[in-house]
Amino acid sequence: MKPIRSEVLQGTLDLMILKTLNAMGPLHGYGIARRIEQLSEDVLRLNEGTVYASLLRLSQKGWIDSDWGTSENNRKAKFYSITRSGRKQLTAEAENWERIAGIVGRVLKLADNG
Amino acid sequence: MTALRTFVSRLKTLFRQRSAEQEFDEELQSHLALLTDRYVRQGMTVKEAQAAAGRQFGGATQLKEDLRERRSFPLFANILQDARYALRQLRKSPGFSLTAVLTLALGMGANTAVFSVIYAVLLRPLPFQNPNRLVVAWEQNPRRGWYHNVVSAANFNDWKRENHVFSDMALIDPFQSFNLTGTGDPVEIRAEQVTPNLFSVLGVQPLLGRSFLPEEGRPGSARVVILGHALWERRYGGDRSTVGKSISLNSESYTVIGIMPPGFSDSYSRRQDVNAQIWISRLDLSNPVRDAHNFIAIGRLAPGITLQRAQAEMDTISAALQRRYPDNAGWGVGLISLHDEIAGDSRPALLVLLVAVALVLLITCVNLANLLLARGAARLRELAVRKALGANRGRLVMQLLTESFLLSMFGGFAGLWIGSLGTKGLVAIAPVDTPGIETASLNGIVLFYAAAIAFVTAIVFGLLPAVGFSNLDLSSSLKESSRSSTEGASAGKIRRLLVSAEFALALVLVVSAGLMVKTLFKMHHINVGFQPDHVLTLRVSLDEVKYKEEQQAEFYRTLLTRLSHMPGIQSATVSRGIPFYGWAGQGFVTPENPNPAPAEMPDANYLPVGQRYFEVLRIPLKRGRAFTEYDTQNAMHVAIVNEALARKYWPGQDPIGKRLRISWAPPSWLTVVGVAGNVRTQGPEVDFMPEIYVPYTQHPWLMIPRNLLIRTRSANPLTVFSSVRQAIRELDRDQPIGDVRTLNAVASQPLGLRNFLTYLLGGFASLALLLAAIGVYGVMAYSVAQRLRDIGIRMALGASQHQVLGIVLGEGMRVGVLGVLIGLVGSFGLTRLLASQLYGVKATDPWTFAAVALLLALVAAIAAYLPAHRAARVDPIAVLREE
Repeated sequence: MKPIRSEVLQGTLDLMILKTLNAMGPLHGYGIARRIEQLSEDVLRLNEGTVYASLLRLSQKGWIDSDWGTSENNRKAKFYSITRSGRKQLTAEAENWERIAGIVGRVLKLADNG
Repeated sequence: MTALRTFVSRLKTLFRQRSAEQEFDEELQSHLALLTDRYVRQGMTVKEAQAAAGRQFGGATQLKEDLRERRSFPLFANILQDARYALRQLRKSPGFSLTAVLTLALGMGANTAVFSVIYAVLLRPLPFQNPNRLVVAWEQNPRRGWYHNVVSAANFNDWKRENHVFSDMALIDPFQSFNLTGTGDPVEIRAEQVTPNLFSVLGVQPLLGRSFLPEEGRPGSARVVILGHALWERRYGGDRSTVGKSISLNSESYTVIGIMPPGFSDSYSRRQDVNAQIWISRLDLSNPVRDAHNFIAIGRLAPGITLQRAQAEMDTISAALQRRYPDNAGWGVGLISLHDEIAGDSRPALLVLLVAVALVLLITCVNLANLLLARGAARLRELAVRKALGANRGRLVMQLLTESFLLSMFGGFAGLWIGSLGTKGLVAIAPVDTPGIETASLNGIVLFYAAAIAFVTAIVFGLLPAVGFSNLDLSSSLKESSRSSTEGASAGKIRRLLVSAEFALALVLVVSAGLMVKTLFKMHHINVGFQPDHVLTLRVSLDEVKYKEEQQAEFYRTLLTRLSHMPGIQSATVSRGIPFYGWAGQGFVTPENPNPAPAEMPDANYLPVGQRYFEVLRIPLKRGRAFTEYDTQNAMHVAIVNEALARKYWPGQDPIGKRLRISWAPPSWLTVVGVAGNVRTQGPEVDFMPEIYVPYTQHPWLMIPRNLLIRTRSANPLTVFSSVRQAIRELDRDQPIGDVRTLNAVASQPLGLRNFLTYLLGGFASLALLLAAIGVYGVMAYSVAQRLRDIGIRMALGASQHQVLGIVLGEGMRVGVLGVLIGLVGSFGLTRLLASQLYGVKATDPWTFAAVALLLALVAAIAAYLPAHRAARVDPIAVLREE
């Protein structure tokens, strides 16, 4: 079962990153990590390195783009931004997610009641 | 879609893996710095902050590994890495690399060249629509041993009418020539009279203009002509307006209606010295004589009909024709695909070459495997270290294979260059009548073949040592002192076996070359019955419109008289046909046998010749007299027969005064006035055939002579050509001259294919022998270098120089002799393939085999002598002190 779980988590992280970039505009890896930290109210603690695995995956699929820029502390940093096909993917995935989340929620409730 | 994008992205990264990694490093550093800043701001010391940032980020090294794999294709990345590593290795030992690439280039270049020729001659599809549906139909008379015999028009008409297996059939009269006059020098052009449907049967259209209309296929129809591309370019400068113009052929005006595509005339008939450049469709198919065999028939199989099915139907038809017409007795039909017909005799010779050149490549592989093994032995420690550091066996094999692939690639590219030179060389030395050879080039298919052999070669010579090394004993080679890390006993054994294999392969090639040399020697010593040296031959075809019967005789009489008075010319004559130039068979009857059944009709080669024919060719007259100026139309009609005819039809009798008559000609009896020595007119290998010589002055009605034969005083007969041409031009300014050659060149032409084969086999055999010798030398030199200490100790203990020399020499010889023994067995395979090319020597000729075996043993001994000599001169004290 392990790989499936990590697969789910990976997918979740990808989705969160897409959502973040869609909402906030171009961000570097550090910024993305901060934003996710903030949004998940410190519940989801992750090794920030995994963000980069996600970013590679997303850019290979053509859903995000990257460009070099300068960070807050005047360092060279890579800024990621969502592409058009990334936005399309986000819409589709978000709907999908809500549907699945709804179903899973109902099933769990049913199981509790039954 | 996204999968594809991912793939493309990975592919892009493949070639910039390193820069991608650097970029990520920067990104990572920047991230860590930002994290550290944040913790510092929260009040940590810089050190604490850095540690916390590291924890928060997670395992950076692991992440990098993970990303590296995901960024690209790990397998390819490995290969690239191996390739870079291999390149470095090859650069480090330029001597080895250069030798390897050069050997490979030679082996592959030779293969590429031979294959390009084989493709052009045997495999290339003919430039027609569905060329594999085209079939040549010959008449054949198995009882008389005649196959591939030209066809009579009467029989062709019946075949065409009665068969249901061909969608159409066309007929060609290939033995035509026309004198083309008008602008430019008068020239004689080879021509074909064809049925108008020839081009549609072949499925080919003229490049310009149109092909013949059905109504242009009658003897009396409008005079139209289609020209060959070469003639059009040469004579008319490729001018498109040539179509529609008139040209003068044999003093008659013809309208040009079309130009054929380049190379067309070489593509459907056996290549002659000069192929047809003119097509005319006024072929007369009305000759009812079934025995008048003159034509070549080409048919296109109807859809769904196989060659076997067509043959069966033609058998039925020809059987019926035999019953209906007594003249057809014994005559059947033989079908052969056009492709096979054209390839003809070249096939077995080229197959021998293909096998031979493959053997050369195999030797090359073995030699390289050996080189790699020797080098591997030196690199044993390197490999052992890599293995100890965790490279698995597969990875090591991969790396060794990468090296061999790289070598093979370089060798392949250099081989292409050698191959393109080689192809040109082969085309230049191939016999002129090899069909399609001029199209040989490095085309796509040849390139594909070259790539394929490079690939296979790399696997063969790369895998041998790779297998040898991948199971090497790690600990022992690491433990041994660096200087004396020796190859295992098994690797040494493999190397010796490989050298033996080289000897075996070389022996096969040398034996084949030896058999061919012996064949050529025998053929050069065949007594052909005439003396070809000092003789010039050229063709002067008088056109029949301009020269009527008596005028032709008059022309030659005047010309020959003038020539015989020229300085430098001993004697001159004229004839129809020259030796080795085909068969003009005629049936004949004698008073003793006036009405033979058609199948039993005696026949002989029929040769109209001039007075001094026997003198010019130095054919001995055994009895009676030669022809004289008094043998004219009004005198008694005479003939000279050869000994073979006399012995066959008048055994034990005096042939002088006997009479004979050509079976279908006007009823005029010929009286035999002389008996000439036998001549091998059908080629040096063909037995003597019965022959009838007649003075052309008595028979201009049958066949006009056209070949001048001139015996000169100079050893180079071509020196008199300009004065001969002058004499001809003085008689007729518009008379073309064709085929100027020495009779020696004519006589050696049948040897062409064998000469070609002998040169190449000789070349390949020498190369193989050289490689094998290098192999023995290499193995022994290496083994001596490895055992210097052993040898030193032995000598210190009292072994003499002679004994040491003997030991090393003996080892080298053993390797060679083992190979020779294996090779002797293997030779019988290839030499059997060669059998059809041999003459006067058996494929299993014991003398050749013995001589070659001895030669190879000698080569092994010489190659082993150098290292043996070095071993014998070892100074035991020096060697032992080195320890």
